[in-house]
Amino acid sequence: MVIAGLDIGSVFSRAVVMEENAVVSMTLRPTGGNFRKAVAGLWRDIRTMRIDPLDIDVMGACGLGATFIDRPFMKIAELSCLSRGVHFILPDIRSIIEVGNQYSRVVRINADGKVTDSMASEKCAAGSGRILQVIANVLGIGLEEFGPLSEQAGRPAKFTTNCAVFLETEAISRVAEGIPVPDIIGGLHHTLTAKIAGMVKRLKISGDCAMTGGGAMDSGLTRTIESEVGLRLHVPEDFMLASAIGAALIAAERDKAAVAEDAMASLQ
Amino acid sequence: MFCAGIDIGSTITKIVIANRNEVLASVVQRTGAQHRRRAHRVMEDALTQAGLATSDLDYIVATGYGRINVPFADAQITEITCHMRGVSWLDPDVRTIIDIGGQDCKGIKVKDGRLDDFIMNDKCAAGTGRFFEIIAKVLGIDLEEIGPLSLTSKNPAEISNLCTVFAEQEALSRLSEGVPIADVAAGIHRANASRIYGMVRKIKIEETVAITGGGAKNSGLCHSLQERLQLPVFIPPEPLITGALGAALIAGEKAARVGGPGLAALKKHRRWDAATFFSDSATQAAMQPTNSQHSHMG
Amino acid sequence: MEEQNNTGLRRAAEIYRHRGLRARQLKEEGKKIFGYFCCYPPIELLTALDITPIRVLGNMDEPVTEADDYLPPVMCIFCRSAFDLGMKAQYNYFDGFVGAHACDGAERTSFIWQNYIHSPCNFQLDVPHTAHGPALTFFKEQIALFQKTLETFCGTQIHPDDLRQAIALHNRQRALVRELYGLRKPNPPLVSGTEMLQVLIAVMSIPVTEGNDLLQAVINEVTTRANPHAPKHRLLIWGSLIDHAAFTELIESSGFNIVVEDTAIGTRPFWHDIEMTADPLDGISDHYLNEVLCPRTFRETGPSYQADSDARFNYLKEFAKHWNVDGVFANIIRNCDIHGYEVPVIKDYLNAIGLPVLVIEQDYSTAALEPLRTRFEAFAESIDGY
Repeated sequence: MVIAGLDIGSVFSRAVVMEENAVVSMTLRPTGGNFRKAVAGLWRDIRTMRIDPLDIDVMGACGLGATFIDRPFMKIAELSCLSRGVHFILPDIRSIIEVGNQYSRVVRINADGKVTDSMASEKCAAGSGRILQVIANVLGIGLEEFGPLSEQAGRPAKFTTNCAVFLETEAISRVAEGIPVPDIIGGLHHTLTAKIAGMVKRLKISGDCAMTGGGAMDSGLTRTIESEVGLRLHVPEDFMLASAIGAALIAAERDKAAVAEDAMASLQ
Repeated sequence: MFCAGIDIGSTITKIVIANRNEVLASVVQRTGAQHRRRAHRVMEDALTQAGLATSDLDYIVATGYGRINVPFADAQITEITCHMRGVSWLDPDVRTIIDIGGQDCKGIKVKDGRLDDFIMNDKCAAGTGRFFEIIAKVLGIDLEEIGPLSLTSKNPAEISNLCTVFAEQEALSRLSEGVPIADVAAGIHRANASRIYGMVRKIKIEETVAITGGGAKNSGLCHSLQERLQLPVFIPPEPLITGALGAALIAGEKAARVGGPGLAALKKHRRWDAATFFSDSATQAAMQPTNSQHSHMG
Repeated sequence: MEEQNNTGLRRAAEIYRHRGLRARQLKEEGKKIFGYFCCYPPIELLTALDITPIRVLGNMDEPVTEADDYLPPVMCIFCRSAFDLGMKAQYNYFDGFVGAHACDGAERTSFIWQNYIHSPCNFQLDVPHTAHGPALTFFKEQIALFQKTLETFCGTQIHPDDLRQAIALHNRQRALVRELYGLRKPNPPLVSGTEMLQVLIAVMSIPVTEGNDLLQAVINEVTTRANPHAPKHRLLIWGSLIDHAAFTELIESSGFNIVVEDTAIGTRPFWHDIEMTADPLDGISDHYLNEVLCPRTFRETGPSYQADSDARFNYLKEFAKHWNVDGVFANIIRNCDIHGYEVPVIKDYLNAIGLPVLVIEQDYSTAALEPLRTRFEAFAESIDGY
């Protein structure tokens, strides 16, 4: 059986195709502000990998733009997809920190990869990974450069605002005041870590934990969380695809259950 | 007697030079990261416009978020007081001022030409100019277009998020669903007008209400606010400069109080050096991402 | 001579900066130390047993991290901060902890403190929310229970004479604080808001006798010194407490001298003496229920809105008159419900007697202080008549 999972997020769109519990093809592209075009792009990517979208038996999807998928699919809650996907990649992990563009969230999962408890930064983008991207733009560097740069931080800059939008202005001011870039990034890591720490503590998470979302690209952030919150973080390979993998797996399971139910019904 | 009021806002810097109660020059420029340098720049431009030299200025009042970064100012007064004074001078009947700036939003109450009460939001970008800048970008239009476009909407979209970042995503979703840009823009204006109205209500809104700041240049926002207020609204012809105007008027009063010999001493000690303790490269790095839009008014 | 003159305020500032230091020393000498929350627990009972009462405070300069495990973020951040310091072992020298149902936040924090910080002795004082007759009877019984708990813990009875002596010592402290407040009546005041904050927090961090000596030293010092403060607008602070000098410094560098604080680290614990009654608990219960004025207690005062606010806030009018107040800062720590609910009525009342009011709901964080400067400056300008 060929199964597929799509995750159409606000910044990135991703697709995976799986067979026999293994990923046979995957793709990741920027959403670019247009979900319809992003979905069409994913189909093109899949075709170039010599897979005919028509051959897909079951498809699951999640993300803000999932409603724009123009083929039959099962809509699955983002949190379930993330959990199931991470569980597939790192079976021993029981907790996840996701630092995404809209929220940061912390999830506890059980041995089956099902959510047992979770928490998100909610309501406003103050504690989300968005602030990393905003500051990266201000500094004119990529998120992946944050890690090495923040290692040189001496005195982390202080930020007086939580608002993701106003943080941009504050960062500009700090640059103008002559505060070194590593200190600005270091300060940002502290700010974000404090928000995440609160959630981690409320869910009583300790020990090994997976880290996903765009924020996982920033090794400085993962290091700060590890040292300040006292966790061992694991960034899965293909962490950007975790939710898409989860969507495919959950869709397949649900399909199987539905088929079994049908069979039972016809027997009776 | 020549006086100047300079208002360094978080986003835009404004200056007014007045001779007693007559406005001689006004200049509006984007602030950028370097307040001191911007202060000198607008001052030079305004003096040129007025045909005056630095030594002609009797008194200078600085106001706004960056008011402490104007080395040549003789006094600093908050933007709350200066807006109040500027608007009252333009229309003495105004009792409530709603000032929508680039990064904050204020409600100001006036009583007998004096500052009576105020309230402000400077914590969250909702209800500030920054919100509209970001949304205009998502909608793919200029900031100046968002207001007029929203007024063409017959069916404003429901926008439930007031976090700028979330509203940006929500606007994106609506557009993807095929909702016309004008309806999304109208929905955005409604949501922000509610937010602003809710805040200003706490100081008891009384007519006449004036709207000032960059937000007053957005016809869509003014329309939505007026819908909520159900009261007559006064929008100054140049709503960006009411703070600088008030500062110039206060400068005039202060100059009159100080008198001739005192003013001569003040002038002597004024610091005109454009010294800045920031390096040029740091400035350039900081300026890079924000050197966009905003027309010059002066 | 010069140096001696300086010692009172300097010592107060020193104790303020290292709040736990004296208590830890006493602990090493074998003395018992109890922490108490808010200004409702009758600390006279502790003093009578030679226990040093230490006021539990938060720290605006320390981000709340540990407390998030146990307290929801919608709770008043002062309570969260105080508990956070507890979880970070900053109060680990306590032999006992006395919580009080001052407000709901304080009550829950006290319960949770008992559960997770494990001071050897714990007592939760239920303070009634009305001042009716039966409430007073109930409150006195609560205090008797508190006494019994302490006696059991210490293995000794409180001798009535010791309790009377403790009441006298604390009454002396109240009188000294009021005398110090009197020195803020001149213009400019002889004591700044920052100095007052440091003195009062110092007094709450050391035994009462040492506190009284400190107060006396400060009074002697400030009465005779050349006034170091410039005349500015005279500010009364009402509302949630301020326990960090960074806040008072910001206010006093924005055009104000703070002259009276109607807060829990201000006039409230000190304004009235405990009456020496035949049964000392009568005087104690009457004092804490009826004379420590905080909006946490409902007081039936009159049939109309006007009569009610006149009766409840007349004392503020008196403060304003005697301390020649120009304006009032209503300080609300975010989610401090008891003071938040009171804002509309107190604003009406004060405006009606000609006092402008600045209301700020703040986040109890030194990082978020500087943006408040514009509000204070604009408030000063409005008093200037701009």
